[in-house]
Formats: sequence, structure tokens, C-alpha cells
Amino acid sequence: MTPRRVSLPAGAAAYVFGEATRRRAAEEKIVERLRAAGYREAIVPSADYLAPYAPHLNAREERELYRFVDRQGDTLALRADFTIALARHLAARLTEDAEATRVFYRGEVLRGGAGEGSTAESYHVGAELLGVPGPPADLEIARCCLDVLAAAGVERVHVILGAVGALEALLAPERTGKEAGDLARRISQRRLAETASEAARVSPEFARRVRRLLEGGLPPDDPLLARLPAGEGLAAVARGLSRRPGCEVAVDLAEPASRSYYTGFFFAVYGATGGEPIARGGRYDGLYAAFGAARPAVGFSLGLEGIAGS
Amino acid sequence: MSAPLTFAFPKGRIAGPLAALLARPPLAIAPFAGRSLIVDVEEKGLRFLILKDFDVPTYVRRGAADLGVVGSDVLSETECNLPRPLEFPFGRCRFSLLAPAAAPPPPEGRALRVATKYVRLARDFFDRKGIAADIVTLSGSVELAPRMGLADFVADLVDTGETMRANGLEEVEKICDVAPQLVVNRGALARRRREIFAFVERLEGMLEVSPDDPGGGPCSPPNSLP
Repeated sequence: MTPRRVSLPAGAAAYVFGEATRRRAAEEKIVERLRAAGYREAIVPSADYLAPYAPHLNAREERELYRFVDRQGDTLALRADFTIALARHLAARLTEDAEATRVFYRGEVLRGGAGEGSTAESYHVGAELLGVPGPPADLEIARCCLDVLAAAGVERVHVILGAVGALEALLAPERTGKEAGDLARRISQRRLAETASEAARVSPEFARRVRRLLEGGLPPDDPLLARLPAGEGLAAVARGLSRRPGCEVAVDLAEPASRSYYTGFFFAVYGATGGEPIARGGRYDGLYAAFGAARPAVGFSLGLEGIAGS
Repeated sequence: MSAPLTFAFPKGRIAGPLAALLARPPLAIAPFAGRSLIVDVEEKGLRFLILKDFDVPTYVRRGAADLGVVGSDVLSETECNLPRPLEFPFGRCRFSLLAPAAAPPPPEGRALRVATKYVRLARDFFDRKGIAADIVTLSGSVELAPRMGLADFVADLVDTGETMRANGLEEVEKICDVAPQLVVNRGALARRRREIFAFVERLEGMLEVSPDDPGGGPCSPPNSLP
């Protein structure tokens, strides 16, 4: 077998000279912006016991983990996501009276099997706002995300806003329970003809609603949002972000959440080019409670790969 | 003028009927000439990338193409969860388990040997059945494998069944139906939502063209790609 002198495992990356300098410069600008906004750094281990993470991962997320057995026989996993790690290590250190905690992190994450052509290794920088519920905190974290992207030179962005469970809620009363879940899944896959024919059998109004949900791109004042408990908050975030120059915002309730621990509002940021989001974020109000400190939480992370060359 | 929509065009078995569809009005895209793998149709605001079927999900997922057409077999095999607004009525077939006609059952006491290029789909099928299978990965001509002693079974696409029968195989069980899908990149959807859905609607309308209309009729394979 040919010794692997210079080649890298699939999805791994090395950066030297100018490329390394560019990436570090972008990272420093981001970190400087986060510190100025009052976020303090947290450092979490790059490998940890798998067991505390497993309940917060779906089957796909769990399969993406690089795992191994240590000398004591415990199964460990390499860091694939900062948010759960931060909850696990920060929960015990949060004092009861702490009103708001702002933290940021940076470092590599490794996810295997993320699809052909996807990177397994990625350098993430992210921030979290803990202890503050609701849309004002959602807006703060989304603005913070766009601020740090701008600091790194990414000025033109398209932001997609979504909310966990919103799609199913808007299919009621015509579809509820498992039926609503099945239809919501097909709307999320944007199966136009299939969902149109099913909805048309219910009523013309339901068919129009399903079509609007499937196409996405709802404006903040769309009457559909008013029917959602979370709609006013989502609209407030959309209005707050759409005033930024170079920022186009759309509410797309058919967009699936990128992580299974999200409990409400979530967002994805796309740059002027490229097929995948350059940043993602959302609210995960159940995660800290699972580690013994019930705190609402919202955060974002971005992969340096997506922006360092922008 | 906005950038063209980039369309990942598969050059496998779907190419013929897809070319016939694109040749219908109002797109009316003329046959491609030459061997270039990029074809610009500027007056329609489209750029076609001519790709192997299995590469379509990668191009679309990574944003090198805004949209593309690919079989549901490839999407399942590559665990691709791209938005898929249209399913096409042509190029449909099934993914099936095949065995040599009138062959004795494989010996008990070892895993079944199954030759396929769809490793994940085959493994999932046997897992669901609770049957141990040794998957032999091949990239083509899988029908040969049982005859040459490489495998007991074959898991592959079956359309008319002609290739299957010509190689002495018969269909044991259908694993799943397969149909071509239009897939869309999420970034393109975020940036060009109206344009993408207008294009999807246009394609949908072209599918509904009556056989009596000029350019209508079944999407049969033309002599060359569009």
C-alpha cells in the first residue's frame, strides 16, 4: 500500500501560508466583534464521553460522530458540535441569579458521513445567549451573527427564518397528528405536485395555504404568521433584520431545522454564492435543563470555511 | 441581467426522455452539439452541466448547480435530502432483487452474497428483512456476477427486464420504485426563490402538454442529447 505521505483523509483539510493567515485574520475579526458585544470565551474538550450527548442527537447526527473506546473502556466521541458540549460543561457553573450569560467558542468540529463532497472537518466560531427567552434574544443573536459575518467581510446575505413545529401547526385543523406530520415532511421536501393534489382534495383554501408554505418566502406581515403562537416573534425578528443593508430576509416554514435540539426559532444564513449556509442558529430551550440548569438558550455558529474566502 | 440557472443534466438512462421534455415548448431547447460538458442556452437563461447520474446530488448540494434531475435510487443511495419539487412521469423503473433463473438455493450457514452498485439500499433492504448479506460492490455489469460465481443475487434497476432475462436472471422481489426527481439547491432557493419556482412551474406545464400539441407526445428518447 502506498504510504499516505501527503494525501489527507476524505474531508480533512490543512491550511498554510496565505490561506492560514486569511483564516486566522477572519477568526480574529469575528472574535474581536464578539468580545466587544460582551461575549466571553468558553473552551470545551475536543473529545468527550458519548453517553451524555446521545439523547440529544437524532440517528443521522449520531452516525456522523467519530467515536472510539478509551483505555478504561468508555466510548468517546470527537467534538461534532459545540452547543451540547457547552451545555454539559456550563450548566453546573451557571448561578441561579444570572440574568443573561453571553459566551462564545471556537475550534474544530468533525462530522463524518456528511455526504459526498462535504467537509468532515470544519472550524466553527459561535456564540450563545443564555437565560433570556423570546424574540428579543432571538433578534440579538441573529444580529450578532450578521455583525460578525460583516466583520469578516461578508456583507450580502440571505437569511431564512423558520420555527420548529410551525408547519404542522399551520396545517391544522384540516390535518393534525400523524397526518399533519406526514404532509409537513413532504412540504419540507417541496414535493409540489404530490402535496398540491392532496391539499386540493381538502379545499381550495387549504391548497393555497399548502402552496404558500411550500414555496416559502413569507413577508413579516403575512397573515399566516399571525396564526402561529410564535408568529409575532418570528415577524419581529424578520422586521429587525430586514432593515440591515445587504440583508434579504424570508420566513420559510418549510425549511427543516438543522439540529434536532432546536425547540423554536431557527435561522440559516446564505452568502452571495455557494450551496450551503455559511451560518446557522436557533433556540434550544430544553438543552440546559437536561444538564441540570433550566435556562432558555439561543445561539449560532458559522464555519470559517464558508466565509474566509468570501 | 441575472446569472443563468445552472441545471445538472444526467447523462445516464434518464437523458433521453429528459432531453425530449426540454425540447418541448416553451423551453424548446435544441439538441446540444459537440462534446462540451457545459452547454449555455443564453436566450433561455440556462446553463447545463452534463454529469454522471451519481454526481448530480453532489453538484446540486454544494451549489455548483442550482437544480438538477436525478433518480430517486441515487438520492436514496447518497442519503441526499435536497428539496425535490417535481417527480417525472418518464424513466420510471424499480430496484429489485434478482437471482439466476431456476438456480438452487444458496447454501445455508453463510451470508447471502449480493452484487450491486447500490450498497446502502441493498444493505437497508436485508437489514429490514433480518437476513445477513455480504454485499459485493460493483460499478456496472452486475448481472454477470452470479454467472461468474461472485454472488448469489443481484440488486439492480429493472426497467423492461430485457437485460435481466438476457443474462439468465429473474426478479425475486421488488425493493422499491424508482422515479426521476427535480432537485434544488437550498442556497439557490434562498437567493432565487421566485425564479426557481417559476422554472418548476414551467417544467410542470411542459409535462402536461397534450400529445396532439406541437412538440407534445410522450417523452421518448431522441437520437441525441438535447
